[in-house]
Amino acid sequence: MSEAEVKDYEKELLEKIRREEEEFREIRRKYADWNFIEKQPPRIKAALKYYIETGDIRRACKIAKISISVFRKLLREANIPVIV
Amino acid sequence: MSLKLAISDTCFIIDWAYYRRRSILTEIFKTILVPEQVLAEIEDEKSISWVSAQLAKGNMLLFTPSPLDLRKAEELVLKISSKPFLRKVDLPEAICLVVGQRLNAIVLTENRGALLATRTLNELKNVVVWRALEVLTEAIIRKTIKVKKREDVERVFREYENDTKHIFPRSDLKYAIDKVIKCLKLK
Repeated sequence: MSEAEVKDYEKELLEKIRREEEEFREIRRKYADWNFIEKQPPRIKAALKYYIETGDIRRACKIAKISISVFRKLLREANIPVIV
Repeated sequence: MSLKLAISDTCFIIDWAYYRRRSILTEIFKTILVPEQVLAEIEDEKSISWVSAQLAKGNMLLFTPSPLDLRKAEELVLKISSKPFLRKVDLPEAICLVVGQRLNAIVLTENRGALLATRTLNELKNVVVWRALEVLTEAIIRKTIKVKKREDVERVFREYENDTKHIFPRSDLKYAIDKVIKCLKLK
């Protein structure tokens, strides 16, 4: 592959990743139980909203100050799907 | 014959443990390595009781990364964090990627950061990463999960989604279903 082809490939790959991120974000927003989320204590509510926007479970756990496996259970209760 | 070796990160285990057919994982892989750093993160009862049972049976193996693995994993965390287009990874996922590469083990993950790193970083291009989607695909093709027709295949993936509240990306799911249909010559 020439340098230009490599650059094109990388550009295409990054665009694909960006489109996937947007698609996954929309799915998380759509399925989320917003009533459940709004009733949570501030840290948990913020962490759930952060997760919906980013899909980043580790940073969300830090916000919530709970472990990853407990946060995963919370995502199920809030009906927020994991999509990877 | 089962595949030889896999190494699992936390995100994979804490989803897979909720799946009704979770036992198939140990039929597909002879040994599943669980790094100490991953085990330390598993706290919910369903996941930890399943993992503990598998450790007791010898299907899973508690793995202590070497100092060199840890150093390489730390370097990988820093490298990925320096790339703004990549999702960050933390030490447990990075350990899985580094050890998976060193031992030629399939890395089981549902961590998007780890997945994107193997797609975009040249030094990780030879690391094989499987999500539950790929594990289920393999299980059906190997006939560990029996199917007779397309609807059965679709049901297998749907059951996983229902049990775990995990959604497979639709395009990846379609690719997986088509692959199974073609391999097994189903209608």
